[in-house]
Amino acid sequence: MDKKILDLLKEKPEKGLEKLINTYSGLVYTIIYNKLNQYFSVEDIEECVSSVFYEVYKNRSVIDLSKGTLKAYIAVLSKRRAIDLFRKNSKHVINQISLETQDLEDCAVNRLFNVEDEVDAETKDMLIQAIKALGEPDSEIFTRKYYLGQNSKEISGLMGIKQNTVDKRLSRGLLKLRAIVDKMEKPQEMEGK
Amino acid sequence: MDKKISHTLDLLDIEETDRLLEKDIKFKLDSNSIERIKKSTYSKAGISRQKTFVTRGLSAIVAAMIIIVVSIFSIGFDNVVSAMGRLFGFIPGYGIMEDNQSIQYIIDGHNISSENSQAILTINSVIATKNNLTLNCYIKLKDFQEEKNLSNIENDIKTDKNNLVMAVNGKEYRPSGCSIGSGGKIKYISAAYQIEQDNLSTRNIYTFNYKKYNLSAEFRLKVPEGYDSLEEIGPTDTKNNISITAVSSLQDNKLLVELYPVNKSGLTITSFTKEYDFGYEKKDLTLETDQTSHSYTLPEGFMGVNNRFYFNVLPQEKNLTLKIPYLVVKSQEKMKKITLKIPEEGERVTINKKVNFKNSTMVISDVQRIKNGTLNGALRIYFKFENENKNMVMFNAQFRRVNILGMEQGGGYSTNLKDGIPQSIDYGLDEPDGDVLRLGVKDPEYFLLGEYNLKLSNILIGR
Repeated sequence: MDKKILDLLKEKPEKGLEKLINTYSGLVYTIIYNKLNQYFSVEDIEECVSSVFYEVYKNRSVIDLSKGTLKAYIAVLSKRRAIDLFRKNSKHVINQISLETQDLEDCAVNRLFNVEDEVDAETKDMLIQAIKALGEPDSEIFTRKYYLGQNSKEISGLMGIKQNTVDKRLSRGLLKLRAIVDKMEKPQEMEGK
Repeated sequence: MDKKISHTLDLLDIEETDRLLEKDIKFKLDSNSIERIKKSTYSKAGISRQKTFVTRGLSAIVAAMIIIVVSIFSIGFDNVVSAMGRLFGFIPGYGIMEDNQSIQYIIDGHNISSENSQAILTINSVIATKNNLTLNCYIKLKDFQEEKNLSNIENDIKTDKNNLVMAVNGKEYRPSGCSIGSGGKIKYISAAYQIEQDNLSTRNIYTFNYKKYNLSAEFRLKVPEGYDSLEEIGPTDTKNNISITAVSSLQDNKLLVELYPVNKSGLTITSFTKEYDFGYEKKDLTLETDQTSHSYTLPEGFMGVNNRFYFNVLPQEKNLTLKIPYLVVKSQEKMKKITLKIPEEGERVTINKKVNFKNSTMVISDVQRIKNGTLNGALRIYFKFENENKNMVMFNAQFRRVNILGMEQGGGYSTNLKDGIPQSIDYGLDEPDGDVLRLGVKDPEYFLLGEYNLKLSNILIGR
């Protein structure tokens, strides 16, 4: 499927874009909407979604499917572009007391996304494993909640599970994850020697 | 906990995302949205069968941001020399933009103000793009009582947004976004309003009302002038891909010089003057004349980077040259995490740990646990710098305590200076630190060398 879309984008861009957007608009829109809906209009969010697709179109010749699926590439791109849009416009959407203008942006962006922070690969790997280990449908519920940013009501509607059940599963799953995160919180071997 | 998980998942790379999203997930999106997204994407890609589609809201915000980006924080990829050939727009009190097509109107007049028994309101600048008007102003409070409670200041700012009302043709607008600098005698405000195109024109009278202080000021808009070169705006000098244009005026019998950069360096200007008492090699911004060298005085307060400098120049002084020996800039880069072992009290340990940034390296040479009057004491962290580019002299960076996930935690530090240059910091220790202190280091700061010489005319002559 991914290869077919990329081939179409190269040879028949119009059809390729049609296919690309039909396939991934839900994913891209969900990620961007849930990051920005408190601060931006639907128009702005749709424009950001469109920018993601345009970027895929621009990079159609250099996207390397051996490094990952188009879905993952697009999902990562969507998160980045949502952050970029917020960062660019942060002056318009925040109130802060700092007198240092740049701090206004940094502070708000960090509060929303913590983009300056790094998380090591091991931590991320542990978290993915932990979410997978929850089993279905909890694994999907967690992905929707914490990766896609959907709330219980939306998850309930999309997965056909009662909202009450979604909340319970989230709560129980969190207990399991907490143990893992607590473990990660303990000081590891010291560096800096 | 929730935030930690979301934050960690926000930082997944493609391969990690693949693993998380390997199962197909169902989404729901209405067909009208999909259609609008398609049209916009086709338009961007230049596929002609679709009609051009521009979302109004975003285009207005982006247009407004372009000005800010170019005038103050520009991170561009071309250079100032290539920008020289373009048409420039200049908004007094606000900045220079390379191409003023996106700006339809600016305020007609300058420093429009109004006053009552409580405060003085002064409008610095207004710019209007399609559907968007941004106003910058400040309020000087006459009876100022210092508010020591930070949360009161924060609450004050939160409620202030609804007090900033713009009215035109009988319709009132509240800000779609605003920044407020508060807590002192002077409050700085930048407010953006989404206003219909029909209500943006040179015919209208606009009333800005700061309801909290019952102060209002009226203004009109005008079409901004275009300039073929920066020199037409004022004397200009360019160094390190940053041009600086000086605009002089007379204020309270003093010479006021305002500096407007066009910044294509990829760095953020944080100051035109020394940061600490000494400055780089004890140099600082000065105004040289045929008779003497003048130091500057600053405005009572300012928000962001101050670009206004006052000089007591006599009318008979000639050959005025503003000299800016260096700029203070910072490079915005990802935070670098370091973990430092905390030695026994009084013990100093050499570690020579390198923290690499794009243009330089910070070497954390030693750490020492010291007493500082608090329960747990502090970790004194000594550092020095290795600079690859002789024009960029690193002298500082920001430190933040982080947890194992790299998320910022509370805490603070004091800086120890020698001749105005930071040599070490004392980072306050907490009990949970155990025997390691995890820090993030970010925003390396530099002296960007290369003296700007701006020849000014003495506008006091003949007064």
